[in-house]
Amino acid sequence: MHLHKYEKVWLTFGMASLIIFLLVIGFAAFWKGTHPQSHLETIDQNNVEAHDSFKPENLGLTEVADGKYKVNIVASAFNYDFGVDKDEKPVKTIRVPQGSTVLFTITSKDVVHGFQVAGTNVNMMVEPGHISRYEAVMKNKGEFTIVCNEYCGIGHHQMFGKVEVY
Amino acid sequence: MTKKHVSNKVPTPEVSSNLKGTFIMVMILGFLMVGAWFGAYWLFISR
Amino acid sequence: MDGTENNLRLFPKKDARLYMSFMYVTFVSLLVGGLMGLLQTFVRSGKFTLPFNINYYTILTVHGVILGLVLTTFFIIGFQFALMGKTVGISDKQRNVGWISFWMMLVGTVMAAVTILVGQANVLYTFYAPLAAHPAFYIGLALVIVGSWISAFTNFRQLYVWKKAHKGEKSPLLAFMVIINMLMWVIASLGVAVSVVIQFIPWSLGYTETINVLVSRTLFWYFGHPLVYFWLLPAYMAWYAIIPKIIGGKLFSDSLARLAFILLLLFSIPVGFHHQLTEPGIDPTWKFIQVVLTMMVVVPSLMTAFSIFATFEITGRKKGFSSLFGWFKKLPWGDVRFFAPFVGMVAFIPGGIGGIINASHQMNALVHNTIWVTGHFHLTVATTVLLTYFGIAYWLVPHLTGRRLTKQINKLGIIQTIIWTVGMTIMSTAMHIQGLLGGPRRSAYSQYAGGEQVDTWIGYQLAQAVGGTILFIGILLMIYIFIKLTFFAPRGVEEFPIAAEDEDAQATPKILENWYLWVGITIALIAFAYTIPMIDIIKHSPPGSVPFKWPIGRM
Ligand code: HEM
Ligand SMILES: [Cu+2]
Ligand SMILES: [Cu+2]
Repeated sequence: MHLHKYEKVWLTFGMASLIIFLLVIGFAAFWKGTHPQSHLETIDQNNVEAHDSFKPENLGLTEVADGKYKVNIVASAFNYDFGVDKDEKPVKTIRVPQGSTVLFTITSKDVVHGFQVAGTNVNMMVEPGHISRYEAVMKNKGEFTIVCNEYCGIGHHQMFGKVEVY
Repeated sequence: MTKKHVSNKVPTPEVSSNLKGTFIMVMILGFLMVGAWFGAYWLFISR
Repeated sequence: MDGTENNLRLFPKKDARLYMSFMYVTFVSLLVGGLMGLLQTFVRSGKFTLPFNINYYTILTVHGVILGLVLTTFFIIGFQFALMGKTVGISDKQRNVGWISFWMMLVGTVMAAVTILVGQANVLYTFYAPLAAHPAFYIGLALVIVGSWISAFTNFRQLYVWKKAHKGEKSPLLAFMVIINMLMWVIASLGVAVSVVIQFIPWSLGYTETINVLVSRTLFWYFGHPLVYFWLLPAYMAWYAIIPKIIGGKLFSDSLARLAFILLLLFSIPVGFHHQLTEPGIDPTWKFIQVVLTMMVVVPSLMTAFSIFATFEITGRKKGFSSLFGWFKKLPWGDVRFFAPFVGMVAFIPGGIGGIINASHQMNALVHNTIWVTGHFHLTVATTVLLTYFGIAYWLVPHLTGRRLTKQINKLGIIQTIIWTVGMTIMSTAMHIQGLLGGPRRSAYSQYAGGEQVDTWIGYQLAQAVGGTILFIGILLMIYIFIKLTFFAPRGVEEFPIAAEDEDAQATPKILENWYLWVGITIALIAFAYTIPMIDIIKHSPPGSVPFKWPIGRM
């Protein structure tokens, strides 16, 4: 089989680019630990409260250390449960200061959902029986809409929340 | 058969293998690819 | 063997009727699915609500199933049958089996479609468990898949019979390509067939109580990526072996074309994890391994890009254009059989680049399940693939009906292509940008939690409605063209343009046709990429999920 000289150059260039892409993301993933969300822990979706993170009193935002927060969420069609505020009203907005590190932990009680803090890199699938977890630094100020971005039924577009970074 | 033999021996066969234009086109495409990818990567990093 | 004469010989009526049946379903699907697409963009603009209480997700399921699964599969099988008929021939028995395949797929399609339309399957075309549709939906899908296998095995048989009669000859290039595509399709759709038949059907009928969600998703995406290559390969067939003829040239390289198709077979299956990059329960190292394999499948497309430009340049230079880009100006821009696929090729530049970005492991979080993805595949499947299919239909339909592509219809085709280009540029660009801003896909109109971010999204959704309207006009025009070519165009002989090889082309290495070798490597790669993670997934399974009907509005 004969390859034209230019085709050889082109394929070398193309393959070298692909290898560079892989080196960049591979380095970030394996050395810096920025893999996409891939938490391996399982849970009984019919009894999520048995897990410490998803006890009703542990839902929502907690400050764990200076500038470090965790947010626990239970997803179900068509709602995110972020716990309740002091007036026993369901929380819909999470407020954190700029630059804080936030660990989002979420599971589903019923079907598959998504969880994306739109405009940030927090974007994960949420599946029954599995716990999804992703830590992100809130670099930029602003209001970020939380959307369920995996179809979960006919109320899918009514499943949302908000993160405010101040 | 004989014909084939001959054409293979010619060092650079016919005009048809002048592929300069092709080369420029694919390289433009290649630079677009690299540019767009790093653009997206930059956006990812900045978020 | 003179190719041109064969190109001008019409099929026997009996054969043509089978191939045309697939085309009828294709274009009916285009109209139905396109109307749904239009309505989706209207709903998402916020200025329109669906009449008769029709649910947004019902029409979205129709759109995805009818365009993504039905239109594509019917067109591909019909086109591939025609290619096989032209290059290696079809026997009476094979034709009858082809009819069985057609009817099985059609019955399956109607079953699934009716189930969706009565609101019993608002699960979208990916039907993710544990959302549970009515069993008729899954049974319909199973019939479509099994029906397509019958076609695949008929194609295998066609080549086998030809080979026996032509000992020692290499198979015709297009027949070789069809077999590669069908091998890939059968190997890949085994995954979804196992999932539908073993998991979904018994579970939806109540014979089993629970379903393993992550296993079903993994089986789906084992199929889902090769599915998109199943759509793309027929377009590549046209680019490699048909376009050269239309522009008055020869094949660039028979061997390189075959090599590209083999690489596509090898690397398009063991990559399904790139659709599951943000999922829990899958080891990220295995995700990364499949990301590496995904980058390998880019290589044959790099080869294809070179081949196409080279075909254009060589053809132009042979005609005497010696300046650097003179050959480019002299391409047959006024011939829709060339122009429509050409626009498809151009769309594949941003389409393919977008695909590389999507597949880049952690970077997937930037775009996963945002409307960017929808923008991406409306470039790849709904433009690159579809415009190439249209480009094929302009000569295939009249060739089958014994009519001619007249000047006037050709002109309408050019206009159609321009309308599509304009509409898709608007819609797809708006989707890409909205997606980068975080706007989700698969979502009816919603203001979510309100605020500035959401307002920006809705602006782009308005632009999508504008693009969608233009696209729908394009669909109406295409349907008109199809009807013209089928029933009203003047009688005559339209060429079936298959390009010939250069007389002094180099011989094609025999190893390229060693099916055992290539299928063997394909299976080995699949085993490598999937065995360990699949065992992990099954070993660490959570409790199974019962069917959920109420979220999709079933009582
Ligand atoms: C008039 C032309 C078209 C318009 C206006 C249109 C519009 C749309 C829109 C707005 C969506 C996204 C809806 C959402 O995510 O909520 C969508 C999804 C989709 N479209 Fe199209 N489309 C058109 C043509 C096509 C064609 C020709 C194909 C395939 C050959 C296609 C395949 C798909 C698929 C597979 C989906 C995904 C469905 C899902 O997410 O479940 N579309 N389309
Ligand atoms: Cu949802
Ligand atoms: Cu894919």
